[in-house]
Amino acid sequence: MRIPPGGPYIDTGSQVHALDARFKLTAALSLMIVAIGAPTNAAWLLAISAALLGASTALSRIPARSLLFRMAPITGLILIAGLGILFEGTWDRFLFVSTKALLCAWCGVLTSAATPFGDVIGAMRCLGVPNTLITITGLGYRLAFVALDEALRMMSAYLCRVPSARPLVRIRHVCRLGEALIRRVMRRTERMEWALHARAFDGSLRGLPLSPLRLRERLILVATGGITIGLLALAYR
Amino acid sequence: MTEETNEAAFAHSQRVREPIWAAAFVALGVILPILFHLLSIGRVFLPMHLPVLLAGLALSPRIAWAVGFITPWLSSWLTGMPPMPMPVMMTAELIVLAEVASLATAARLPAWAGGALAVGARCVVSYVIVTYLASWVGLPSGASGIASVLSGTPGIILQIVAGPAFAAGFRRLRPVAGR
Repeated sequence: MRIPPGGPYIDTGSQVHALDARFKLTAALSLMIVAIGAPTNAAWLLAISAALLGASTALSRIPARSLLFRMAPITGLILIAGLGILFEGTWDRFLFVSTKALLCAWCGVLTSAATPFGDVIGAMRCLGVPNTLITITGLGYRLAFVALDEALRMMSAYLCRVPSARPLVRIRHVCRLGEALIRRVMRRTERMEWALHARAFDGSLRGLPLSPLRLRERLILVATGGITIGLLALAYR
Repeated sequence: MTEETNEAAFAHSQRVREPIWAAAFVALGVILPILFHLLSIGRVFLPMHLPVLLAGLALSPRIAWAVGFITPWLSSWLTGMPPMPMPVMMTAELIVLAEVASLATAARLPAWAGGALAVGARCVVSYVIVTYLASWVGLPSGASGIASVLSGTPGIILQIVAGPAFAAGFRRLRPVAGR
């Protein structure tokens, strides 16, 4: 579990990157709805979702190594959680649930790698999300990197001083590190608050609006919604 | 007249300050789990829940729910964790955690009582959601619900102990008149 330096966005200038953020977010959401909503007897629906994701990944030209590196801990967690199903369920059930979860995780990782966060904020504005949520999201994203910087420095210092410790001792140390991190972030936030006050911050972040959707993108958006509903209707027929 | 002006100034100040502090709690909700997961003790200590509980104890109900709403999604976007379908479930849990703590503080309950109430409400929501999901995937629903709540026991204890302790430090963020 880590944040890639500079955020999860990987710019390759591909066709997928050039798509509008609103379209990408809607398409990702549709694909997740299809994957989660697929009934047990509709493995073909998961196969279609996987094929679509595979094609999008290939078109995005994002290095497979980067995606796999981000997917590795998630995959491990999903498989471990899925093993719980084996105690009461069957192998079929385990494979089905794990595949659904993996497809959703893959979709999430791909979307975040192909969409700059600024466009996500712009898309939130266009979709009419309340301004307070947008402001907190935007500031939180910036502050997360500040907090990460503090956390990594603290961890490096800690691991240099205490390279190995008994589990209980380590838990106590991590709790103390957490406390110190909270205090440091609070101090940084206080300074940021003063800086924002000095710049006449009125409680909302300003940003450039996204351009209106082009006709082609609108048509693709409508088609995506239609295909999602159609596939699910076909699977539940 | 002076009182009205003070009220307006106070409201403006809160409108400007609270989003900044809410963002700080969101950032902590993203980074604390990384710190805990580095040493593989993230799952049982529920590190994302602690900053959200603190936000509930420190911010007004108008803003506190937003911290619970944004944190799992932003964390999933930045780190990939929780993996994608999970933020939906966690959003419901964290909104309840933040909002109940905030409403309890607004009702002038002591911080320890507000924290305990919020954690209890969050456990109920978690139990209900996991029970429903378990029956959907064909697992014993009651046992799964109880297991999901009990697996986070160290985190629950941490929240009940540390939440009110930190809340005292954040009290100045929410200088409600008369307190």
